[in-house]
Amino acid sequence: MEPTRFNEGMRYEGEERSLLTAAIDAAFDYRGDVTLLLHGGAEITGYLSNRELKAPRPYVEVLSAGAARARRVELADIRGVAFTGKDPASGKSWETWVRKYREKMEARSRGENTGAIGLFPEPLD
Amino acid sequence: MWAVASYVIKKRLKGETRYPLVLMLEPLLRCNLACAGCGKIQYPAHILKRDLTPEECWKAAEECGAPIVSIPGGEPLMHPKIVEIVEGLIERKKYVILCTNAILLKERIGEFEPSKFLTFSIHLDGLLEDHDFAVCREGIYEVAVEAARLAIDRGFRVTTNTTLFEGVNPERVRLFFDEMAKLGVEGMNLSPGYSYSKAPDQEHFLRRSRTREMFARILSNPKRSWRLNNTPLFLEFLMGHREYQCTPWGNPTYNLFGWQKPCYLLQDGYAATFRELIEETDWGNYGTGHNERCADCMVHCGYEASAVNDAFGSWGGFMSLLRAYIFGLKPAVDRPRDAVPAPFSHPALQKAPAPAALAIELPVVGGPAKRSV
Repeated sequence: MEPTRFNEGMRYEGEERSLLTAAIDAAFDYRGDVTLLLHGGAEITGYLSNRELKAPRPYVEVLSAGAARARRVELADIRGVAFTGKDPASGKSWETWVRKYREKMEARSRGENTGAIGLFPEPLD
Repeated sequence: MWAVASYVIKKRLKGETRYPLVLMLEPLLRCNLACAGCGKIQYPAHILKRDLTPEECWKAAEECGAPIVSIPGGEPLMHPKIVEIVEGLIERKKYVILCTNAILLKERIGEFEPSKFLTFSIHLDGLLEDHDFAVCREGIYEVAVEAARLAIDRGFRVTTNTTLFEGVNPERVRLFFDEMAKLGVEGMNLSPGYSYSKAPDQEHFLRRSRTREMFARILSNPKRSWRLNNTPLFLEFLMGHREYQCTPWGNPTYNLFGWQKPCYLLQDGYAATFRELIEETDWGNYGTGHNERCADCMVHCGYEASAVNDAFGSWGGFMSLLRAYIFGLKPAVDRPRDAVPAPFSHPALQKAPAPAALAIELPVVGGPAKRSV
């Protein structure tokens, strides 16, 4: 089936295996943190750094804030995924930069003081 | 070059078919630039704060065994222990290529010792306006050039790495080469940028053709002062003179998550060990014609290794390499040596598409691809 598109704030919970694996694939591609919803009610939040869904016992790996190493969780223990963390890729496309650059250059050509034009990393704390 | 040549010959004599040439070691993912669309730096803060330890870096280099270790990132000069990492790699007789945007080079250069094993590879994507636009910040070109000059003056090996996307002005790229020659860099590494879009096969073919025409225009009739660092056979691949299939295991990538599958650009998962990466990745799923995401890719991290294997793995390849060194790159393009460069522009900034006439301004006159590896 076509990969399902998930965005910040969305979640999948259910028994349908193909939908769950599509959600896991989307979580692996997602640049923010996700929350794994486990059978039994437990939850694990972190960056989904790896997934191996073709292994004899399919699993994912989650790197949580403050943890030294990624934690491996078997697919069989997962009942859902929530896209809980902010998407750090959102709004940072090349097209967004081109639009900003063009606007600033037009402002500069009108004699406005734009300062140095540029993008800067967000603070990490 | 001798170190790489002897390494390839030894591997061939042992009958090994999948061996790495350059370890791409990413000891951190944070950066002091915020280039739009850069997939290497878009992670949650708790991931961006993490660093590989020197021990993890050295272990990866030993496990992989490649003679060259390239350190991109993120920005490696933001790593608090980057000097220790580099020194440990040099102790292990690795040729280290530290890829940097050079913003911190002036500040940290005193911590490094010049060595034949250490090269600062400074990211410069063209002349002032072109580079600043590419890295999304004004002023960075001047910082990088000043830092490069300082490093050269202090006796370090300095090269540049330049990524060229479709639509760049060939004359401006050639003028940039002139400027780098004047600066005195030891070599210039070129690569087309990576792009991927879902498209029909015909569109992918046209995109590769445009890339090849662009490189043919840039590199034909080169000046003696230019020092290109790529394998001539890779440059001829970019110019459309030869065909290669990708060698994704040639530049394996190790970072905070492990060994990246299958290559530096695609992230299909991570292996815990280098052996697992080599033995358990389904390599047949990748490369042009095998995977849509590879359809437009002609990037150095996949194809430079193919060119090196060709050059040092067969007599025919070696003779082609000699021919390219002695008689120059193919194909020849009917172009003036000193055309006047246009002012800065970028296709993305143009409201209307570029006139079609530009595409036939300097026709490629060489033959089609001749070798296939």
